[in-house]
Amino acid sequence: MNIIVAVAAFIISACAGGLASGRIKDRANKLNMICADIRALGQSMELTGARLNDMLQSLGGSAMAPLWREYAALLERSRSGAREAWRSTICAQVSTGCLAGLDELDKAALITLGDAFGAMSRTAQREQAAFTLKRMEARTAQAEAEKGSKGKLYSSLGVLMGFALAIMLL
Amino acid sequence: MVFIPNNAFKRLAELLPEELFFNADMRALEAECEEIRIRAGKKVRFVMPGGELAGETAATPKFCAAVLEALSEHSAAAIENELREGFFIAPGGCRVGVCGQMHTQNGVCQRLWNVSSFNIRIAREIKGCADEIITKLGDCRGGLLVLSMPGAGKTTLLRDIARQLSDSGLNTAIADERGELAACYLGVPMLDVGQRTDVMDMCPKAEGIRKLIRSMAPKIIVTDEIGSAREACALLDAKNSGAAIIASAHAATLKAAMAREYIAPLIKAGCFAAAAIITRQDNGAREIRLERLIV
Repeated sequence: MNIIVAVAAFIISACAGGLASGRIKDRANKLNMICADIRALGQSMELTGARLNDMLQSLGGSAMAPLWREYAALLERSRSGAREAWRSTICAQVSTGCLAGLDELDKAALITLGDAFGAMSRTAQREQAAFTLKRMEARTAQAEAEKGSKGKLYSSLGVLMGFALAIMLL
Repeated sequence: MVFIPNNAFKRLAELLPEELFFNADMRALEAECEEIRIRAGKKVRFVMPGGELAGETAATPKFCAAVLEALSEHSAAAIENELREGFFIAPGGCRVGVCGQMHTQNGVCQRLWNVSSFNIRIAREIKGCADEIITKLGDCRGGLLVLSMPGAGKTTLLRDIARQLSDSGLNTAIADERGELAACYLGVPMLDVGQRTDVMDMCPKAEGIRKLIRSMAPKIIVTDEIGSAREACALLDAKNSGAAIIASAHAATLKAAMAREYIAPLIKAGCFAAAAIITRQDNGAREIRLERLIV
């Protein structure tokens, strides 16, 4: 009986460590994907001067497509401005949607992209997108560093704690 | 005449802030509204054939920003060049004139911001309004000059002539510098200008006419509001290339048109076999009078 409980405790502890580590990796991955999309948006703003809806549709194949789809749908549905709609989309997606796992600073950095969407000139649009990208890249670098250190730490800690618990129970 | 349900107005009503139409009779607006005037700090006004209707909403700068965002489909940056020119085409094909604060550099307009006035001209097609002219002039191969004061319906008449000639089998080309004839949105005509019509949209008229003659081989060239020597030259060139010219100009009478610097030489050169003069009564009713031009 003790053996079963010890094995269960080991598995639970290792899983909890893996989960914590996974969250950190997931955040870094999401930030990387968003950065890639912002880069594509920036190119679209610079090269084509396309309309917002066309730019959002062009991101339909990206890994963060649900985010852009939600934003396009909200713009269509509500008569709010591009900035407000972007802020609402980010808030909703961070709490329950495809951006779950991002922290408050990531959210604040991403919200500034709304100023690019609502800009009155292409120059302002490009500059704002570049500013957001810079902030998001800084957040990504921080997340990557966290992934390298804390990610491994949590998974190792989970396994070690599991061992310790198992030994104590035995 | 067939009055088409106004899709352009419907599209506008979908896009614009709801409070703009607060307590307004939407059916009457859809049927008759010619312009919507929005000015910051003032009440919205709807221009109808018999006069103006004041809306209940007073426009604020924030409201004006929302209108611009709605009409540009959240893409004011994408229409930056058009804004600098003072107008753009909204979804549905309505031409929107804008005023605001112009940022200039060395005397050159760079960017319009803080847009505070809008003149939304509802794109309207009245199919059949050119029936009488087509009946009398046939395929208009001798050319036609449409004259009237502003707002009397020159553009609507030109559009229907283009549609009818195009549908009758003639390759027709429209040089649409201000985007009002075909009401192109992203290059595609929103209004019916015929099956065989090519539209050079937003291109300076003189340039547009030359390009159309060179590349599209039209039998008919249609253009709005002749107003410069370059445009008159291009039209003369088109006529000499074998295309018939159908154009309009601001003038209340033929005599007034003959007094205009760039119209008289075209008439004297035989570009037009007839002139259609549109007059508009105070109640909005229009009358079209046709005069043969003898050179």
